[in-house]
Amino acid sequence: MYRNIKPHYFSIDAIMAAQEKIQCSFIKKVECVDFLDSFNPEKDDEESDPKIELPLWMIQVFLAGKSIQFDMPKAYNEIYRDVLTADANVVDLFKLCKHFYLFGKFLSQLEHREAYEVRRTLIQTFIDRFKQTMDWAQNIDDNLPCFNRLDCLERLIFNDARVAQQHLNTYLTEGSGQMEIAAMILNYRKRKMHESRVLE
Amino acid sequence: MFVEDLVKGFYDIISKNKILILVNYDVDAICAVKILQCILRFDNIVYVLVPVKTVSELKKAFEEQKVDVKYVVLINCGGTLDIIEILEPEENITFFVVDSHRPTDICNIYSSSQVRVLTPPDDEEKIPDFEDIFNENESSDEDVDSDELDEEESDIVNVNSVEEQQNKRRKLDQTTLVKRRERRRWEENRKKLLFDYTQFSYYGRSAAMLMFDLAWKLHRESVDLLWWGIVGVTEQYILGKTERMRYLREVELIAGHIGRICDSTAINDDEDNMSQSSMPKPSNTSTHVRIESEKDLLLALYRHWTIECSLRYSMFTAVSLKLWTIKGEKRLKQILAEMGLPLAESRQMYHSMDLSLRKQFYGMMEKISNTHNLLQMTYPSFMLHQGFKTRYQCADYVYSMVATLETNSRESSPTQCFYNTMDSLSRSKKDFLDQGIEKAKWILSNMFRHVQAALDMRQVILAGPFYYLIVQEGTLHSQHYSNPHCLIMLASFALRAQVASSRKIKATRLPLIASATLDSDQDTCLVVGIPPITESMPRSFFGKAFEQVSNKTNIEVSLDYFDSSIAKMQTKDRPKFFDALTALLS
Amino acid sequence: MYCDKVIELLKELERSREDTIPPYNNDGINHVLSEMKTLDAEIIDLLRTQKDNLPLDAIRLRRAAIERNKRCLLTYIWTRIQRLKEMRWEIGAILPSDVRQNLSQSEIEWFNNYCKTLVSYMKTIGPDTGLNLTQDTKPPKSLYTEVRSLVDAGKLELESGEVLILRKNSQYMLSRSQAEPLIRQGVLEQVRQ
Repeated sequence: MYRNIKPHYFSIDAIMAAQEKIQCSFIKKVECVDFLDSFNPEKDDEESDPKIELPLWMIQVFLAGKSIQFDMPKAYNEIYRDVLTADANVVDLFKLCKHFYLFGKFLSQLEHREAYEVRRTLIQTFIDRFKQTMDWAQNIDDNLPCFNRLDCLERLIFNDARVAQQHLNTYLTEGSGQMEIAAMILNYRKRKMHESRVLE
Repeated sequence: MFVEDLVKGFYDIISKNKILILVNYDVDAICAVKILQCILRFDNIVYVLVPVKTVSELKKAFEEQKVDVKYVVLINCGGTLDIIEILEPEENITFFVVDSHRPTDICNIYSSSQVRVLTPPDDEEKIPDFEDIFNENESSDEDVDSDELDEEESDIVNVNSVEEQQNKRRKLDQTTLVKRRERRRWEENRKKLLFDYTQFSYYGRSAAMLMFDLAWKLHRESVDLLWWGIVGVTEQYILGKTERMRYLREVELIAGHIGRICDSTAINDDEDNMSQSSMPKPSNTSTHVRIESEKDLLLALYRHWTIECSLRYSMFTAVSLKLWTIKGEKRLKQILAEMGLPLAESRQMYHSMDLSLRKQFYGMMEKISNTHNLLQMTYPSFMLHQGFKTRYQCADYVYSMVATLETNSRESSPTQCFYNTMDSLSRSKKDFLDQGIEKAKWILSNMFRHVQAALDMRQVILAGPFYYLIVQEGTLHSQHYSNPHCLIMLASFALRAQVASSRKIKATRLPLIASATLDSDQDTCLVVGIPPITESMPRSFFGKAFEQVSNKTNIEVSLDYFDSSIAKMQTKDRPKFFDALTALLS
Repeated sequence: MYCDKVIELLKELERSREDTIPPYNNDGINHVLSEMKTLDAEIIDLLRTQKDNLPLDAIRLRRAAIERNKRCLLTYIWTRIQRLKEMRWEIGAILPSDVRQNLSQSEIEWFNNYCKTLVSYMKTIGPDTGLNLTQDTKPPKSLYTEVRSLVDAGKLELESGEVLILRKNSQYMLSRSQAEPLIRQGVLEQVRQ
């Protein structure tokens, strides 16, 4: 299976991260786009401009023409940055923003005055949370609900680490060479059993 | 026919093609098949293994699997049956029988080459001679006689030689009469011999030890194989299938094997001590698997249990001290006090007891056994040491395997239990063994309580020539007893308890029949007969008795199990059956 | 908003487990393709009508939407094919029927081609008749292994020509190469020593 955590052309996570919405307002008038017509700036007064939430990829387009300005979304603003620097382990990143790291990476590549801060915070958060993730992956066998606090990237790392640790444990206790039923088939059978039980 | 040389007559033959192995549900059989598997694995012989519980399963398995099979190995099944008649195989299929059930069927012994029995005959078996059982010449003489008679009758026309013919006829009649009388006598003799031979059913040498001998002759032995052989032999002793003398003989042979196999580790130790080189070899003898032979107590599972429980629930001590009475309880506490074992300690698990008490325990028990009528409490047995883990006694293995084999839970089918039991023998799957030990503790304690209740409520009823005990369907945990081994253990416990508690002298000479429900849906029950306790050799005549009763009355009794003293019948027929049996035996 | 439908396709794929393939959403894909065509027509229209005062942002936005649709569609197809490839290595060249139902015609064609290519490649590497890469995924310890059958699987022909009948709950000793595909399919179970 092609596995790459870094965003590449075919990576679903990167696409979904680019779909996240950001609040922004238009500086310049944009014509011939139907759904944006009501949001065009009437006056030069910036505070009364209507705000709209647009996905990241659209914002990238408009930024090239310098017709838009955006605020940092909730997860990356001053307040949350302070929370994350204080204690990163407590924050429920999944609820906050599902693709926290990827989205933050894309955000920090756009031109914004807080981009540098966001970048720094992202790296620091990852470092702070990594120890706990690694500990969980190596030592816990069953699914405790605390894993729901991890965001997508951390989940990928976590699952891979868990699988690797289980392989190591099996190797240490039973040695290698034990042929097993293909994981796909096992899951397929479990699903079939579950379905038939549900139907009953 | 009997196979003389295990290697040439058995192993070399089967190592060419694939073989079919049919195994009985029996601890001894499982040990034997495990040893055989190990041997076969060395030579990469393809085999098919099917466990069978009853004769009908044997037939079914053979029918399904007989494609392309030339050699069939039967372990602990089929020795007492006429295999060729039951299975109807083709001419080119050869059967090898390793069965500890006796008496071996006559047709199997005297089969020309299709059925080969691997266990050599003991002197005690008293196998009737070939001439006494099979006589092929007589049938041809019979034909000649009848032909002559026919010719005679057609020649009666000749009047002259009427007298001659009358004389001839008389002579011929005399010869035919003599021949017929001889034939009748021979047939009666034959019937008597067969009856004597098949009257008692008992057990011979353990199948597992035979397999170990094969391994030894092939130089493929190892500590594991020897241990499995030991478990097979111990099973026979503990479940009452052999008597003490035979067990002691086997123990001597095993001690010889131990000396040879486990000796190498001792030599390594000496070399380490003597060598004074700068490279100290790490003495890894303690991580090796080692078997030690030592005398041990007949307390069940005492190393994995509390002393008090073990004393109370083991059959031997429970019966000798009559622990189901109040006086017995007092005696138990007295014994513990005499041994210097505080009550709190005796209620703790053995391995968490005080070390000094543990060391003294064996010595104190030996002293006590003399004073309290607990003779023959010790017996030579074997311990398995593996590294620094818990030591296991062979009896522990036996109890654990019987418990695993006969669990009645709804998830595991009987074949699953069979494979679990087989897995519990391998060293890497100790958790099966430990689970089995827990189950065995539970079964033993239930058995004790059941016997206690049975004696209190006088459920062991005397019916003329035997006792009988019926396990009612609704009794707590009675589903255990739908398995033959548990039922046999219960029966022997109950019989000994009854004998101990009754004051009649006659009680020691009476056998016991136990019965329990097998399947409540189909309303069948299992009936098991065990011989009286004064018999030196545990020979049971119930096999023959059950067969005769079922012939005389028209009760449908299925003697399907390989052990002929176990029968299966409808619950409603049971009272009639017992009445008929009483009539037969009195 | 543009590209909503295609994101739904991807969400469907994301929701499904990594080792299954959800049914091929033909309608969704056609919808997206028609959206792309519409966008393209709009761009051409804009270029034609407003030659002098080009609304650059609008054109750029539509262009980005087309690119995004293309990327998402390609990801959809690519992910499904990766999962199919995984199935070939795990299960073998014969897919279970309910998986086949979920595939489109071209995916089935791709799968067959892939199997052919794999087999012809495996024939060229290694000595003589080639090396079966799907075998021995774990290092073997012995030539023959003991296996227990979990279901009644009927006849199995051994390399020596003899026939074995696989019935539930019997134990067999088979050569590792023959036992391995059956173990992976879940028909047999290896007995651990």
